[in-house]
Amino acid sequence: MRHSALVRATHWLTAASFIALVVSGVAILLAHPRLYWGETGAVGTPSLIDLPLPFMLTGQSGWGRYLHFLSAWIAVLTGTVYVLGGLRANHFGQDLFRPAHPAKYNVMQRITYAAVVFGLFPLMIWTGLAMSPAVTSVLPMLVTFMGGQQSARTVHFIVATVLVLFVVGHVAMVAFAGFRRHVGAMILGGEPSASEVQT
Amino acid sequence: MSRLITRRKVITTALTALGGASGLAVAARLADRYGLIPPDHGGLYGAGETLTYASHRLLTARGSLAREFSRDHISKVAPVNGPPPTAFDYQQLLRRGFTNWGLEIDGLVARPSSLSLADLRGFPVSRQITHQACEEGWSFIAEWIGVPLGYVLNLVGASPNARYVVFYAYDDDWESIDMAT
Repeated sequence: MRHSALVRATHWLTAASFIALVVSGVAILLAHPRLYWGETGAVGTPSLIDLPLPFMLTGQSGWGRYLHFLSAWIAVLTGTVYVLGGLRANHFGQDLFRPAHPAKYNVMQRITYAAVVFGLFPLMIWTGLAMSPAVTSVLPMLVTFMGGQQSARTVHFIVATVLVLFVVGHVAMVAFAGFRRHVGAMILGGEPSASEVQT
Repeated sequence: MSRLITRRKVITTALTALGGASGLAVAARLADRYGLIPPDHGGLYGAGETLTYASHRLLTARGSLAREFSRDHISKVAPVNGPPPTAFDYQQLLRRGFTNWGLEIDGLVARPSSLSLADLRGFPVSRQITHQACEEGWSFIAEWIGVPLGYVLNLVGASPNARYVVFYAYDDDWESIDMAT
């Protein structure tokens, strides 16, 4: 089965915005590479994780935040189109939750894709919004449920790390299964191969 | 699925594109009328800034305020970010305990004023225990006591056309906040 135009377009928009989010996220993180639990945290208070990275206070967080918010909007809008389109075409039902036999993806792949789309990405949006004072002035439970603003920042970082690991694994599996053919299928929508399990 | 380009398909696509374009134009017109377009709506990051700004304005339209905390949440460490200003003016103010300091207010106001620390301390006081997060990532909770900015803005007669309050610091830095419309 070939990838639909919707899946192909949203895949590459998500890929581009994800790269921009990681790059800008690291730029923001470097201003204060320490993570805390609870509402508050600063140098001089106990931390949860001290990342082995230098404190970079040379003004990287300005463009970092501009790019982070722009790419976050692109990722969120793209993700919304993808999920709504996927529901309409029964993409998730057919390929993830109730696959036909033989299934297009194995059970580990299906669990991973479902967790990324319906668990990790929503958690990134939630913890991102939980760090916004404007948003939490209206919806305080977004941050109180997380255990505080610094907890939200820490969960945001951990989930981002898991997503980066997913992308590394995803690209490795594509390379293993035939990089050119599978990337071509995701760009042009051609048939990668009838029998083989895709990544 | 057929890959043929039919007349029906062309007409549907053209109508959708036309509808989308005029919908966008109407949305931009409405957004501008309700003050949803920020000054930095142009440039590379303009779209992101506009979406964030407009959502904040819509979300906080009912005048929601920052979360408040109880006294036992006040942080034991209140971080100071960086050294104090080195400017000569500032050193003089420091030496005289800020008795010669004045808060200069001008711009779109009926009565441009300079308010001394004694003036500000004589105004009605409000208190709040709020969380302050630096864009770098650290944060603390403190109790803030003093005259509300709104009181001072009414005092100097801020124009209904004024949309932002801009603060200038001693190190040539500045920051702005939205005024409630």
